[in-house]
Amino acid sequence: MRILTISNLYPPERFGGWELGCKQMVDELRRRGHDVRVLTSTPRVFEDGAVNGDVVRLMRLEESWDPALIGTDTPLRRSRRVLVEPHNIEILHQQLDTFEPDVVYVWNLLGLGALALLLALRMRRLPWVVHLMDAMPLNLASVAFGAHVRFADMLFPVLEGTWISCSQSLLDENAAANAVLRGNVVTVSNWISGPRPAMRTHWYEPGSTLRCAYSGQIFTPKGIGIMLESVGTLVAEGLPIEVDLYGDGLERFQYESMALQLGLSDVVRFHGQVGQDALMSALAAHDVFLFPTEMREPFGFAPLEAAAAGCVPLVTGGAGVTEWLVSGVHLLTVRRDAAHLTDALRRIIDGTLPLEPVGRRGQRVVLDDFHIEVVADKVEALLQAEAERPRDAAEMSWRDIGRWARLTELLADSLLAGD
Amino acid sequence: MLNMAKAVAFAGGDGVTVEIISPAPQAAVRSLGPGVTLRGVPMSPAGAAYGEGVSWEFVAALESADLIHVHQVFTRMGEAAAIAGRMRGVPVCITDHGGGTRTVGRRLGLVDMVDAAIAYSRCGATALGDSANVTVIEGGVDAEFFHDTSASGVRDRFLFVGRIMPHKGVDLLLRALPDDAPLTVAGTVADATYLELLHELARGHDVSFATNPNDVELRDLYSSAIAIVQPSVHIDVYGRVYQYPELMGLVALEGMACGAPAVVLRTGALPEYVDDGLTGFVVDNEAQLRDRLELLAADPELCAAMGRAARERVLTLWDSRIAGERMLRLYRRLAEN
Repeated sequence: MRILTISNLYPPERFGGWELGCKQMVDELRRRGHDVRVLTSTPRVFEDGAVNGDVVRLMRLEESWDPALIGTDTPLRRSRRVLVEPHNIEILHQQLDTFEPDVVYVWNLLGLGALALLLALRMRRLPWVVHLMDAMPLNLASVAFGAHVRFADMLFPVLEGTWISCSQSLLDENAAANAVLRGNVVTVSNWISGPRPAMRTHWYEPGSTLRCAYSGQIFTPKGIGIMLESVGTLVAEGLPIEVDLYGDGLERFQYESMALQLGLSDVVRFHGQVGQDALMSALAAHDVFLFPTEMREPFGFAPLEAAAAGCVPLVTGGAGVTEWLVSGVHLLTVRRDAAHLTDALRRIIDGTLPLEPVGRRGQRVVLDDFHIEVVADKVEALLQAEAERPRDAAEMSWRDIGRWARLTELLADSLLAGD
Repeated sequence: MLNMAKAVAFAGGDGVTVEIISPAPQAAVRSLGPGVTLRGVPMSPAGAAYGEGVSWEFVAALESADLIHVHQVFTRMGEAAAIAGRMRGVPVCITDHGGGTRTVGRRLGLVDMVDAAIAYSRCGATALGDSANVTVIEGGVDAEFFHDTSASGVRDRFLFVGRIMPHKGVDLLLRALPDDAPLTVAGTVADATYLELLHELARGHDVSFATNPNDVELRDLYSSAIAIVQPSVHIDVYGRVYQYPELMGLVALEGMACGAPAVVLRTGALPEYVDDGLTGFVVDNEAQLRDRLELLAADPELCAAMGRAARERVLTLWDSRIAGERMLRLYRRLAEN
């Protein structure tokens, strides 16, 4: 298949796991012989590796994540982020004409004028598959300000294609916000990638130092504060525990300060961003993966990677990953507060909550069923099914699609200017 | 638009319903006759100036529509409605009635981006850029309702009907009015300053003003008129320029349907509907206007003959049943495609 993949960011440019997941799936599809072109935004930080013949970095990204942009948002920028960015319509047009894909594989479009891009694909009658790892439809359909949300209401219901969601809870969250997805809606789990780690042979000995790990963004929704508070309590009780945090984020400095204030500088270490191989090695050297994230966490790659390394995930009950891995069987769950997290860790240290059986089963099932080589079979089949679906002629010329986009942009601008 | 809506619903019988979506202070739906409903939708922001507001309620209303015809398309609401229709994938028709507030649609070629642009005159087609995508459907006057109701057959007044605003040229009519000829000026006052000017010009003449007459009153006015006069101008009394002062001239057609000759200035679409010397007169200036008014006032036979020819022309070409059939044929063709 010729697959055009669109993502707002693409490694090395990235914000979180969604973009990494995109790259992993693209690599896997290429490994399977598919011709995959990636269309993404122009580099933001110009890291090494950004220039790559298989990745077209031409789209204009109206981002909201850069700390430098906090407080500078405007209705017009929101419009270009969510509703329509004619520049990107034109870029998409050029890529469709030169690459002639069989199917378009859509990842996170926030920041690119998402709705109009999807609409343009629909009008061109190109089959598409959207891979959701967070609440993009909800963000598109219910960002509640002024006329913008009305545009989204107007456009969203006509978008029909294949939607892959990493969890049912993510679909439920979207549906609750009226972002009901139309077409073929399926759940496909997240995955691990790369060489499968060896099965763990050494497990935590109660009473010894409990080596905890976390990887991901360093910011409040992930429960970093809860984590530090629990560790602080256990250290104050004289229990042996240490935590290594891998990743970065807007609030890293704040949490480093918090760790210092709690007197945890010896046992809590912030390592920043590390490569995938280094992370997997590190996880293999830890006993528990702390993931007291917010309940709406759609899935996350990190708990799977931890389980694959035999590092038992201790996650918020109800988070997306618990739809796929069973609490008490493949991972441990806990209520999202410091007291419950502390209690669970205390029970692990004193041996009343043994890690080995859970860790062993979790590692086995993730290595067998959640490796990208397995999951990609499903994704590939969905892409193939869309690509083979009988296609009508384009609803309108590309010139007209561009003009409608421009008309919508200018109307939105004129309305939003008064918001 | 209402005439056309009713005519389309009539032409389609039970199989066609027309919903007119229009600004209103509060959301409400009411019947306007067989097959035609009016859905009032609040505009946002509330109290927005003409052409500046948008209602989003229409998105829900579009759910069951097989086709959307956007009138006054060169406004924010018109643009939003056209976009919504296009996004839903239903055929979109547009019409410009003049007085639009947005230029972007013209600039981008909206006329060619929709399924059909519909003008009510050749002048209207020109105003839309004479695109091949423009279909002209002339007329749309209810000639069954608008007929001569005068039992006596006496026609003793000239008549102007329309919004009281400068480009309608009522001042020119008053200046051209023969000294002893009565005139009735009927319509909605859209410009109070202009009305004051008209009152000044009317001094010394037999001029009456009828504000907001209903359709029955209008019909009676048409039926007692020596002629219906539409003196719309390209340059008004204040020097303002109007490229297309009339895109159809429904008032002239209603008057003609009631047996009144039409006297019009050669502006906009007006000459298209008047066969000069047969169904009325087409004039170029104040002097010609005065001359033709004097001619008609002095010759009731000529007036009656022209009136009969005018009604016959309306019945043959511009009756709403004919226009409705044509419009429905176009709608059906678009919907089937």
